[in-house]
This record gives sequence, structure tokens and C-alpha cells, in this order.
Amino acid sequence: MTWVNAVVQGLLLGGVYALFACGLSLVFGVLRIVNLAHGDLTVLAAFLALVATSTLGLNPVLALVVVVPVMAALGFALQRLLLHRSLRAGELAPLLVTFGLSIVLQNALLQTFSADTRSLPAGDFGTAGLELGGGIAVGWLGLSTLVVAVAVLAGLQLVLARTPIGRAMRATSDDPETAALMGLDDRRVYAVATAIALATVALAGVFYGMRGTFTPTLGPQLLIFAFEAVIIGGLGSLWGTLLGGLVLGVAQTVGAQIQPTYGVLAGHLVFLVVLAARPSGLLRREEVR
Amino acid sequence: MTALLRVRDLDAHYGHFQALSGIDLEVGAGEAVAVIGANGAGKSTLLRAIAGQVPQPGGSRVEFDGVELRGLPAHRRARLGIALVPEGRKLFPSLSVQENLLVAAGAADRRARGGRRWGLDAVYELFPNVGRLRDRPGGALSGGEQQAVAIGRGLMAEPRLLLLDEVSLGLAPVVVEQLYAALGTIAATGVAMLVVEQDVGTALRLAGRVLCLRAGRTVLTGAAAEVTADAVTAAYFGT
Repeated sequence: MTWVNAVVQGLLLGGVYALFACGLSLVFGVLRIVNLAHGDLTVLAAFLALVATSTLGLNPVLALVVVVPVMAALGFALQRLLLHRSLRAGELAPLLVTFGLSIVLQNALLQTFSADTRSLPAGDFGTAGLELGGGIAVGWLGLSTLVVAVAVLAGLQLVLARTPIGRAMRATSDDPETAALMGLDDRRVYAVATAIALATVALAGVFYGMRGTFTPTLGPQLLIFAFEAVIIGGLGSLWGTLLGGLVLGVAQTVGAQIQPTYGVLAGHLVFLVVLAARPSGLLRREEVR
Repeated sequence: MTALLRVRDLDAHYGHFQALSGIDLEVGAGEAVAVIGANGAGKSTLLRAIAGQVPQPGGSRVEFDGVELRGLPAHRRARLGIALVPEGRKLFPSLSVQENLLVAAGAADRRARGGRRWGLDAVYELFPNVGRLRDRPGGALSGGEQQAVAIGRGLMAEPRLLLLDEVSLGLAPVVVEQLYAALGTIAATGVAMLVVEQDVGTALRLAGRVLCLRAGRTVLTGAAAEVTADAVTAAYFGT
């Protein structure tokens, strides 16, 4: 039963990784940018939620009402003012710009909040769970995170497939120059995509902050997990991102079951195996492109 | 005839290479003008400059319906009613045929409040096989089908000026015949056209006037009916 429990807990952990990764996947799928500041933006969202809970006295879940719009607005502004300029300077420039942004964010958070370890007060929601029998229990928080991840990815998929803005994102991703001939302003389309991506980052940051602890320098580690989930699933594929998150989560918990220190290592090994055996990921890119 | 498009002293550069020099051109509302010339004469560059894909130097003027277009990016020009059907069709491969059409409809949303001339139904009526292929991915069509979708996509933007770049390139004569018949129908609705073609005969069937370019300069201009084959040959090859 301990192995079944490891898999169940892995799936729940995978929900967090999928939520981390969907913003990264969307930005890559539409803008063709690997956002190296993705993890730091997730940490920023967690700190914003911390400020909202401590100053407004909000429960972290209610803090989402503030954090999601703030992060979405930040994403819109970030794209319009910074990333769009770098897009015109070739493929390397966005990597350097987001790498620089990552360093700036980490240091700004260190300066503002110190290096102390924090967490968001989830109360009973963070500790209560559902007993499934046979020694297996699922935490409400973990289950909610997985449900939110699936809902966010399904919602994003629906937006991309069925709405005019989703169509505009796919067309601009295919060929921005021809999309402009159809009256599409790539600056606006990219900015909306980045705003949506950072709204999902806000969700990821808050759920992660309730689940565990965070520090201003945690971002790069979160970026690696998100990146691994995206690569395992298949670059630019949203359903692949969900699958990648789940595979990574299960690999880590099963690895930890074998030997407690093997958890993260097992995740990295699965990532390497997928990269070697199927470089395009478990699901091919279809949904975004 | 009132000029819908008025181009004055248009230059265009790709780096240090001057692709167009001092082009003057007028296209009246509902008029079709053919732009002919050999490979590299600057025909496509002229269309791209009008559509906003090539920077417009300070001394050059491009007016559309009395509005100077300098500084306006391509998407703003599309919303004014200029639609370029690009060389190579350039359909969006990850969008279905119908989505390819719909993506252009947004360009005309503000102007088309009073009612659309070109919607999905009108495009499917003009190109019946496009209607049958509506759920196929844009990248999975034959050349002729792609060209029909590309023209239909241009129409969905409710253009007042349709810029057509090498419609017949690489297509079988029977397909070219069908496409030009459709273009004739479109022209009859009052859409102005600037038609770039290497095949002079094909272009002149549609156009009332002709402009011949060589090495980025205008070498011949006149009414299609009055331009002789010898004059075109001489202008084309510089003999």
C-alpha cells in the first residue's frame, strides 16, 4: 500500500508542478520565449499573497482576488515594456533579459523581505484531508491544487481553441508578420498571453506558498521543476504540461519511497530519460501551435 | 476617378540595397491595376511597402483614402481596409481553414458595423471547395486550395484595396483560370486591386491599367488596352 500511496501523493504533487508549468508552457507556445524569471515571478506572487494576508487579514485563497489581477497586470506591462523589445533582437535577447529579470527579482525580494523562510497560513485547509482507507489519505490542499491545475489547463485549452483571442494567439505564434496583415497587433496579443500566463503564476505561487515554505531565492528551483514538466510533456502542449507535471510528481515521490534522499534526483532522471528517448516530449505539440 | 491609393516618390530599402526608387502610382476606388516585371523588379516590395511590411522613408508618401500611412504599422493599415494576399499564401498551419478565415474578420469589425459584405458564407459561395475543406488544417491543402483560402482570408478583412502577390505562381492553368474568375467577381463588387504577376497575360485580363517595374523603377505605365505586346516586352527586358 505504501507504493500506491507514493503514487497518489505523487499525482497530488504533480498538480503543483503542472500549475507551475502552465504559464511557462503558454509563454513558450505563443511567444517562443523561455522565461527564465518564471520561478522568481511565482515566488513574487507568493510574497504578494503574504503581504495581502498580513496587511488585509485575508485568507490566502481569498488573497487570490488581489494577487491574480496584480500579476496579470504585471504580465501585460512586462511584455509591453520589456519583453517585446527583446523579441525583436533575436532569440538570445529574451533569454538574457529574463535571466536579468530573475536576478533583479530575487535581490529585490531579498532586500524587501530578508532571506527568512516564509509560508502562507492555510489553517485547517492545509492540514485536513480525506481518508481513503488502507493508510492512504489525500490532503484537501493537495487535491484542490490538482483540481485547480486541471481546471486552469482545460480553461486555457478552451480559450486557445475556441475564442477569438485564442485564435489570434495561435495565428501570431505561427507567423506574426502575416498575422499583422490580418489586423492583429502582435504587441497586444503577446501582452494578453503574458497576462494570462502570470495569472496562472499567481495561482501557482499561492498554492505552493500554502503547501510548503518559500524564500526569495527559491525561484530557480521552481523554474527547473516547471521546465522539466514542460519538457517531459512536450514543448508548447498544454495537456502535455499536465502529464509532465504528474509524471515528475510521481517520479519524485516514488524515488523518495525507495530512498528519502532520491526524490528530486528521481525526477531529474525521468526528465533526462524522456529528453534522450523522446526529445519532443510525451505528447507532441498540437494544442498551442 | 477619385484615387483610393496615392503613392508618391516611394523608395524602399533592404539594408543598403535600394529595392524601389521614386515609384508614383494611383489606384482609384474599385479599379484594378496590374504590376508586372521580371523577378527582382520590386513588385512584391511595392505591395509590402503599401501594406506596411517595409519601412517607408521620410520623402515617400503613401496615402490611402486621404490618410497618410507613414508610421502606421501593418495591422493598422489592415484595419483601414488594405488586405495583402502574400506571395506563398502564408496560411496559418495550426489553424483550420475556417479559423484562417475568421482570424482576419477582426480587422474589419469596426468598419463592418453597418453590415458585412464578406462573411464565411460569401467566401464559401465564391470558393465552394474552401467550404468543404473548412475543418482541415491550413497546412494540409494543395497550392490552389491554399491560394483560394488566402484570397478568402483577405476578403474576410472587408478590404477596400486588395493587394494580390503572385496569385498564379506554381499553379496549374485550370486552377489559375478558376481563381481569376473569382477575382473578377470580387472586382465587380467594387474592391480595388493591385495585382502583381509575372504572367503578363493573366494580369492584364483583370486590370484596366498596368505598371511595369524594372530594377525598382517604373519603366512603363498606361491603360491595359493601349499597351502593346512589344512595349511590354521592351519594358520588361529593357531592350
